[in-house]
Amino acid sequence: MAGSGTAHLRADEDVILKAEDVVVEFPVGNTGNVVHAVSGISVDLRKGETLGLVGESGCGKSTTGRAILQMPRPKSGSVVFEDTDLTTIEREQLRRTRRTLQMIFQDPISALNPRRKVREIVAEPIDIWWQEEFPRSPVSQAFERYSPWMTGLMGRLWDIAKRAMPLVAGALVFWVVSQAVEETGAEDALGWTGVAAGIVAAVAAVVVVPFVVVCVVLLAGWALLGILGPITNIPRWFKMRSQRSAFNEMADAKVREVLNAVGIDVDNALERRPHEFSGGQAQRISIARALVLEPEVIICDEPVSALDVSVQAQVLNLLEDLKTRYGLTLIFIAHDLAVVKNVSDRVAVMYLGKMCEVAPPDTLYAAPAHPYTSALLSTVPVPDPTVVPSTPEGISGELPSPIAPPSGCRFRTRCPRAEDRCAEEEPAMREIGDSHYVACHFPLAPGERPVSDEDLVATGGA
Amino acid sequence: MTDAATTAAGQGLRTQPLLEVEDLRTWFQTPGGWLKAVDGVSLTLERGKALGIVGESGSGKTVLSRSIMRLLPRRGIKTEGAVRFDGVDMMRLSPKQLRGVWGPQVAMIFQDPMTSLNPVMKIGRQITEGLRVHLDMDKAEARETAVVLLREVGIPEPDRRFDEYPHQLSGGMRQRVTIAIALACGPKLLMADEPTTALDVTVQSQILDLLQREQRDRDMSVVMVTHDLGVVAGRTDEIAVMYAGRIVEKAPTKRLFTDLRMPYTESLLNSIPKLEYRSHTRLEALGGRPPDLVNPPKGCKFSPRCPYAKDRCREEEPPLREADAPGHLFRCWYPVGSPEWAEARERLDGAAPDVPVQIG
Repeated sequence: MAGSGTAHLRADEDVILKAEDVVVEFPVGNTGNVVHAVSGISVDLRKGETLGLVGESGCGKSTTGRAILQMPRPKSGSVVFEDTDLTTIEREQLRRTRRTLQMIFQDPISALNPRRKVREIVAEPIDIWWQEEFPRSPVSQAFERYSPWMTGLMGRLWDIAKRAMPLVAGALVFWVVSQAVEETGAEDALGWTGVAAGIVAAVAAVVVVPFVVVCVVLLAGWALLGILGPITNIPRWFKMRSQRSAFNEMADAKVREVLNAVGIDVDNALERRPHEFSGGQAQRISIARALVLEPEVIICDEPVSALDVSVQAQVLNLLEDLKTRYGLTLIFIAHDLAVVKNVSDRVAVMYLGKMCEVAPPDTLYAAPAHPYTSALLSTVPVPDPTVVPSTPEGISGELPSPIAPPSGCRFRTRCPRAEDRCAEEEPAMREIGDSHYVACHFPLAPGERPVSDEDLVATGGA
Repeated sequence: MTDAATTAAGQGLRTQPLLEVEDLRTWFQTPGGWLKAVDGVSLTLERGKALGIVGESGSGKTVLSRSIMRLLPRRGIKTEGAVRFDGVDMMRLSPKQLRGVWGPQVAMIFQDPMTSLNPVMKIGRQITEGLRVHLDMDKAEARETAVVLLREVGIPEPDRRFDEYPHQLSGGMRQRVTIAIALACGPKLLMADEPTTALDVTVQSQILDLLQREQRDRDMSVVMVTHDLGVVAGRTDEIAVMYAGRIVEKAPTKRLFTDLRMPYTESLLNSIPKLEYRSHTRLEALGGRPPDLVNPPKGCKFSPRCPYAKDRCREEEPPLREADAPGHLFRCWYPVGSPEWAEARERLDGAAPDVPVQIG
């Protein structure tokens, strides 16, 4: 597994999001090493579909989800959402796109601001976008637009000034001394000081004075813009104020609608704070917050992993209902295969930053082709005492370090079927059945198990 | 007194159960009144057997395990009932005597291996500490034993790992270390409080296998506390299901899965997504939340969430009664399988899409 390639991407028109060859790396301190979190992942998403991303912790499934949202931006690769490549568009444009791409996190309590009431938490996104409907004056827009640039420039000018300061101060002292020498009439002995003083004065006139003047003008101009901005925004402020109450009513209705949709007792909940809710309810609230902007795609990052089984079932059912009701497209990230199978239309198995296998869930679970998928499947605890818990077939040990991933197929160090070829050549994604793709040199035939029991005994299970 | 306690523990009759919990109550003082986290739990555990305690968060399963271990603080807590471990009443032991029991008699593994290990102490020292105190080993001997233990719990290169700190190990490895620490002094009873909840699926099955192997090899008793029935299914002899601080059903594992009686157990089992289900199978989710334990509902504590509840359930609390099989206890007026249940079930099946149905 652990292969690259884009064979599993689909070319039809329904695809609303397509990530190709996404690479995300994180530096390791100052060592110069990098963590290869995601190394060339490609996924696509049809409208109304749920894509399940499964894998162990550290396989890069959350990083993939975040890379799609451009937080952080991937090192290379493209993420095309509705004909725009998110990896290249400007910050402001990206911010606007994020309205339609929302996220739900694993730990619902820490995902909600503990100091704010549920009403404020859920209404905040619509409030922000309502304010955006009232354009700011051109002056303040310019101020905002150029402020990162200006801050950078100021910093650079200040750097220059800091470095030049000793020189200028030295020259000044020198000039004062030369004046004093002139006054006392000792110029015969120290005549060169006069010449030097002339040079210093010339340099000051040509370099220092214009520099200072430029700085002062820039600063003054900037300050003026800064002051003018709020002043020119006064009409906007009045306009917003006049429509505020209408908006509040609208927002309140919207907040109530989504909270109702996620099954929260609205009247009791609105004035409470997150700590007063159980994990399951808090997760419902964070789902409501993600829904309130009517997004198209929601990325659910382990939304039920922190919940109890009974609550987990509630939230899973809820997600299915909401998907139908709001026409959502979901990316569902989880490590529990049974959960992923339950919600997904397509499942992608990841290992150490690479894709192993992509297939519709029922196919994947009935006939896993990748040894890793098969091993993962065998580890799911079955609530049935007659099923003897099997050790993961042939898979032992833990994930190798993503700082120096194994050559070739990244799974080969734990794979019972690995051969020399796996170390040399990275397997590419290929189709082995109806929309069933696998990245493995030696995939399993349907029904085959990665190791026979005799093999296990012979090799001591290693 | 210490000697008396430990020798009595050592000489406990082979025939009597290892652990007997009788009508245990642990109540916490809160501004609203007493919170009845554990409210009248009785259990027995034979030597060499494994018991699973299952329930949602807030059902009191963790408090129960800590009450048995006597790990709870004393202030603001009322504990009643008896916990007899190997013939010794744990509730009467002084803190000093308890130190003699923790380790060589009873040991515990916690959910989060990072917070249960000391981050500034090498793991070797954390293992040898118990060996040196309880078993009077010298340094070299303790090191040797610890390395053997580390190898036994499946840590590669135990000699090198001995001198490492917890942060240098992965989550699964850390949990293996806590297991090694717990096993070091050869306890008779191992309490495992959600030992795999913080771990990955692949690591989870490795750790569960390890626990099961150790239990068998050492003829040790294990109490496994978890919220996931799947975790305890193939690995315990008996399962106790807790709800609102009480045991609502207790049965031998096989019996519980084939012939359960308590609607709560049924709901728990049905809410687990299973691999055999087709994708998009609607899960039979249990609505609502565990009840307020300060002012619990009248009658059966589960009645507000029970799909089959009748008037009697809301008025009268059912006692823990025996089913037709030995060792199978449940707490319900109209248990699964009874005519009233069948009738209610039929009504539900006809009316609601709450049963597994295919939706697309």
